[in-house]
Amino acid sequence: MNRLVNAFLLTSLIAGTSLVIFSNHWFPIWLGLELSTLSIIPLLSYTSQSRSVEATLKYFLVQAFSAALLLNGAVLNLWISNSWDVNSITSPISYFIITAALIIKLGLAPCHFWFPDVLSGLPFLSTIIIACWQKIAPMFLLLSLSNLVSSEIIIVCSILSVLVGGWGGLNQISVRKILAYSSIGHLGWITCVAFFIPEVSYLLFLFYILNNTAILLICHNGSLYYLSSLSKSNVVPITAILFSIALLSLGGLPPLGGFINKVIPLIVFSLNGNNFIIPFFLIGSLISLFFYIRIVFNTSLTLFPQHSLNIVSFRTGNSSLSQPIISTLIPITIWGLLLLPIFFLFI
Amino acid sequence: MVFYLFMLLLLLGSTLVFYSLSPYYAALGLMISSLFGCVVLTSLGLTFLALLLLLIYMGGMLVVFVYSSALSADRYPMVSNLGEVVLLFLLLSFWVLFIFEDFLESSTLFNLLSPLNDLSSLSVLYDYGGAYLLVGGLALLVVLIVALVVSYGSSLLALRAS
Repeated sequence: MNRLVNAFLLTSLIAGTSLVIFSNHWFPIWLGLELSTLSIIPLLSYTSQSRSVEATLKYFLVQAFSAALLLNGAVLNLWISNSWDVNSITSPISYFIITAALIIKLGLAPCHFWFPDVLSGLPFLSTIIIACWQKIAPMFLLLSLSNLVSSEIIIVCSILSVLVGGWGGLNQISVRKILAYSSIGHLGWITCVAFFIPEVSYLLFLFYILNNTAILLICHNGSLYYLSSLSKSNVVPITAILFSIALLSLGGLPPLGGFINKVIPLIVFSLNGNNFIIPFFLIGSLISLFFYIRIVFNTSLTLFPQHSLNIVSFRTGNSSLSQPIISTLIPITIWGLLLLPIFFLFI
Repeated sequence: MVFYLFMLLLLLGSTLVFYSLSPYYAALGLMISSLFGCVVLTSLGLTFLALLLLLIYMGGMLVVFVYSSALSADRYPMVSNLGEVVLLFLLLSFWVLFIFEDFLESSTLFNLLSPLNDLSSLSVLYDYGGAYLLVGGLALLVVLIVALVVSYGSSLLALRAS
């Protein structure tokens, strides 16, 4: 696509998300959500392949419907409380409609069905935009609403998300679908903390975004679209090791950074005396750890029968723009557990 | 009482949009619903908004929609299911009327005496709300560019139906 049009659309995407984050009035929030949806449609569908166009269409329909639902809830809130202010959600019905719209936008269960379909039709750079950047705006809205009204719908949806994220990713062979279900599961962990302490959720979400971006960039570099291409991929060996470490960190194994995403919610739940929901989260994350380990296994723990010249790659195409970004993001997954004391400021 | 008739005709227009078999009847339904939306707005006193809706929505957008659906629809469209549409409309309206029966008795809702309600708040849009107009205009520019990029198609010369 034309470079100027590309730059214009990326700028309006960033502008749309910033408009959502920085405004106090429901109308610019709706405008920003629609602007960010519209401006990535050409970015997702510029290759005219039918898979990308189908994924773009599904994405647009879901996001447009949920943005309309959000505006509907905001106008209902205006009717009941006479205010367009974000901080004045007074009635449960308008809160419920707005929260339902945000749950559809985020892809939390029970509204998660569009997410693996959309992600599996797009190339990896578009996947990064959909799975990481586009979640910032609705997650920000959900967490700022949780500051005002705590409702148990978030806990129910997050438990469902963690279980769906675990069981959904079990029988997949496409790496994009696996990462989609892992994203659903992680958002479940993050939004459940929002019921108790929403500020902690912001930090967990940031951590998850950085981890996920690193993994998706490595997958983009090596074109790892299916499990069968994991063992044949042409990456620098250090990238294979770091990819495995980043995936195990996403699964939440203790000395790695992703353990923060699991231990902080557990601390928050048990400090609030809410021990009943902990087994659901543990079961969901255990099942998702299985398919992370399956990817790690196929990447670096087995050696499939192949020509021996393929095993060590001297020439790689890895001098790309994403390599320094990967190198900056990966240390968070390794040393991230040292950031644990920050969270004790909030508890 | 006539007010509710206008709103029911609005509902008929929207039922025609989503339930008809051929896009020509859907465009007819859009016309009906926008026309009666304008009538509803006028009877509430918001005459400027009604005029705006009529000119821009029906006079601009709908004409373009009808031309583009004539360009892209079936060559021999199916005859419409007008009887089913009217039946669905009657069912919906009776359902709504039975739910909101108490609501219909009250008559203190409408302020029909001040027809300048919308003009006094429209001036705020241009004064304190100038940033809204700017951002809205920029968003519409993005929509235009997105529509052009998406519909670029295989022809590099013009936007044609190929």
